[in-house]
Amino acid sequence: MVPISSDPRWRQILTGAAAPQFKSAGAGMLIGRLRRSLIADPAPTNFYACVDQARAYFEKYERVMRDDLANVFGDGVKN
Amino acid sequence: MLLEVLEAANRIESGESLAIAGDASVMSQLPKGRWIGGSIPYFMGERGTTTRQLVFATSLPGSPEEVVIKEYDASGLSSIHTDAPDNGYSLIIIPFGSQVHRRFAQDAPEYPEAFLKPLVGWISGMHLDDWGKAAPLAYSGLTGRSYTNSAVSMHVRLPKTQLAQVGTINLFEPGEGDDISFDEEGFDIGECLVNGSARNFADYLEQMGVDTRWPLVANYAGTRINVSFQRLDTTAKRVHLYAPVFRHVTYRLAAPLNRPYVDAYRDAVKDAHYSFACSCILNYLHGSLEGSQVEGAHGPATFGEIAHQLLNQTTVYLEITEQ
Repeated sequence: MVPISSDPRWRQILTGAAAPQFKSAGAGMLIGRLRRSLIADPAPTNFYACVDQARAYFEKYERVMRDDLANVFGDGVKN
Repeated sequence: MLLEVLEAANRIESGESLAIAGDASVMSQLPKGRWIGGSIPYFMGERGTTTRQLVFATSLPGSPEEVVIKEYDASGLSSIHTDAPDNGYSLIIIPFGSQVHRRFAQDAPEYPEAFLKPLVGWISGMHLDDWGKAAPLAYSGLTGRSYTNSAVSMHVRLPKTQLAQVGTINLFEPGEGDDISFDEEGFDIGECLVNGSARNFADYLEQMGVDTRWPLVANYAGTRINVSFQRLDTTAKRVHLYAPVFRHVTYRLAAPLNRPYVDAYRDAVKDAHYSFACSCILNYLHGSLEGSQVEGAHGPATFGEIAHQLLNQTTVYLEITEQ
């Protein structure tokens, strides 16, 4: 399951403090683009806009990204 | 698959939706219909092949419920994803060196709904003997026209039971050397930062004796993105690339392959049996793939690959999963 927007792991992933390696090409490219966006504009509004984009991607592809999601968020992520 | 022009024409006239690659001399012989295409005479079939006589026709992956063909100039490209169906994918073909190519390369990651909706395709080109003489073209079978400065796209809606995903195959890993970054973005670069210190990029590459067959590689959270070298202009001290570099990205020179290019390529693509695939002409050339047997990833060898954004020296495919 995809974590909620306020989950602190989003900040770690989107700022690069955590460095998950996604198998999904689209996920890697998207996270790379969101990180660049946050370096250019770290304002909270942009951060939450980036979280929304990441969540939308993972929710759409959740069924085919179970390994990636488990690796990044662990098996016990809360919805 | 590689087809005679007449066979491709028959499939078009039977109503089949196709993506077609071929030399401009044969593409112009195809009838109107539900197809898009691009000029290119290099192909990865069962063997690497250069031909001006045959075309490579790709049937649409999945079970398309609706197909919409649309042309985009540079100013309209940003709507490519919002025009796409909520569930499905879009194929796109863009002429090399055109304004629309440059705009897509620089802006595509920022387009609304980018990455959320799968976009795959390639950059059209020409026989390298015709470099500077022939214009790369994109084709719309719907209008029967060819375009030098517009992209042509096919938006494909899939049933809810099918999910399309874009995949890439990359032979290259970032090497162990310097971190390279850029304050300027684009295809043509003067200055760079090497481990944070300002350097002229052309001087740096020359001093390092870099083999420009190997690309720059960046790691985007597990997805390796290449930027390939077109040429070094040591007089003007500029480096010309086949894709733009971006600010806030750390690049490395690729680690050299530890075995012959052709063997690394064959091994990487051997299980890539997908309806849609394309590979980079740099793989074709540097891997001496002409005449070589390759099991997977059959499709055109192009002047750039598109998997959400412009890529270099990779193989791109579209995978359909039944849900």
